[in-house]
Amino acid sequence: MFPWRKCERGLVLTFLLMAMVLLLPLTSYGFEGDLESLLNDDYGDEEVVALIADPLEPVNRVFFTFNDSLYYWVVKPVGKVYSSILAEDIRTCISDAFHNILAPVRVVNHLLQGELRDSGTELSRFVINTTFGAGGLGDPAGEEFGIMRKKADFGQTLGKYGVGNGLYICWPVIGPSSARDSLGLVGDYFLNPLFWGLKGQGELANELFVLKYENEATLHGDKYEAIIDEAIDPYVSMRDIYVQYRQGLINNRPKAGSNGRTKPDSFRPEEDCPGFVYADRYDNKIKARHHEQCRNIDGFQDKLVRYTRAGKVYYGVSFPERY
Amino acid sequence: MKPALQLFVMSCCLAFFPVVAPCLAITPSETMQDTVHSILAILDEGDRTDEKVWEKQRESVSRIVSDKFDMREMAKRSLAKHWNQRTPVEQDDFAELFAELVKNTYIDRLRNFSSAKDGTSFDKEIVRGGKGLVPSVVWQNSQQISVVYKLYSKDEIWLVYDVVIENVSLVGNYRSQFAQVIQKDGYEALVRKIKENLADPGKDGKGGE
Repeated sequence: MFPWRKCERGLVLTFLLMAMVLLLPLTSYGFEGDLESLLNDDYGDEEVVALIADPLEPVNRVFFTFNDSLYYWVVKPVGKVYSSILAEDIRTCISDAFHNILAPVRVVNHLLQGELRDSGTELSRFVINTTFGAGGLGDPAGEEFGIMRKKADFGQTLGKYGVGNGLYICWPVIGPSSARDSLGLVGDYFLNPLFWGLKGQGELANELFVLKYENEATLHGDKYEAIIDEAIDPYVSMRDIYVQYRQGLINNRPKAGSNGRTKPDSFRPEEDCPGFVYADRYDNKIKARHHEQCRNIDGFQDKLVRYTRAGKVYYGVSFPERY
Repeated sequence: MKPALQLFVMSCCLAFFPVVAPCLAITPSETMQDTVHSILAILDEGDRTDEKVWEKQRESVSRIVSDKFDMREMAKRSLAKHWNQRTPVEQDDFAELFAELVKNTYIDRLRNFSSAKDGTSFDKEIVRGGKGLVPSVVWQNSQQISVVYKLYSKDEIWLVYDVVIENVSLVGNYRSQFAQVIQKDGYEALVRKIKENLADPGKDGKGGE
């Protein structure tokens, strides 16, 4: 299965050495998150420049069509059968387990990025989920302790050290990537415990890959379909989404609500009624009352609240904290 | 005493004015909370699986979206330099077409939103110049999706001109697509493609059907 197995140790060492030599001197760089930069968007009359060079577009488009066909003709129909056998909860468990086992990739990359705290977060998530979460099948770290996932991969690490995207590559099966992120995939592969654990068991490794692929597709396939459905040119749309998304991860833009669990927001009367989530000034009181009744039937203890702001009367429904 | 009293009243007014003034104007964050909560309120009404009910709800949501989202500005930004090359009539037509495209895409997604399980929360807004950022999180199927609304102030009202979902700008994405289609096949081809998409979403995907 892996024709380069004989020299893999040498490769790994070379790769790690290269990474260390190239990256360690730069670890003092700070990467400040900058949400405000989103406001630098005063587009003038300038030419729209593609976010990534795509000289391989004709080949990439062929692979894009291949992947699209693979999804609609194979992955989706198989996924239907698969989903009918395994309930969504179980599929989520499988997804969590795969995510959990890949923790070393995130721990090491956060370290390389100088993000000690995030590295620790991923490490504690791994420990908690492996022990209390039955080997990662559950996510008690997130659900009980509020320690949320922190993404990191080697492509992102390289990006943070200033390595550009390079070319856009749409790989068959794997999908959108860039030259930098493809190199990143190779790096992450060596940090993948499954790679070391399944040495010499190529067939099992393949089966696990297919399981992970199919499982994720049943959980997130609708997002892919939505992107394709709304696009005027699905290939360009997907390429652009990929680059924008990756750039966001590299810029370290603080994700809204990333400090763990955020309570649903309210207008102003939080002090009086914690957990206030609903207010309506369009059809005001009647709707709020109707909402209150519906909620109470559903088992929520809601309370109609009236308050004024800027001279206007608002009505809403508050209920005890759910998050 | 009189001038002293006047002075006292005036200094009171001056002292309180800066405190009172910002309270009167609705902020970007309040605008978005109002908008989102109003939409959620509509979604909570009735059974969304019923086509007739959904059609009504869709219309109400669409009205709010038209109120708070400046579709013309979004269309203009998406078309970038090509916007100024179009005649006013073409611009109007395009803005309308664009509004339909965006609404078709996003309002239909709300149909699966479960107000009992899902929710939305807002983070602290950022206001700079005449523009504002409202970060929020949408909780759906126990996942957190980051959604940042970009607003600008027009005649003292905050209007949305872009939405950034998981770091992907909606306008930015359309800009890339529109630029490539126009460069390759021209503006007319773009209009045709949008019309085709509205008639049959996903025609270009689905395994090359």
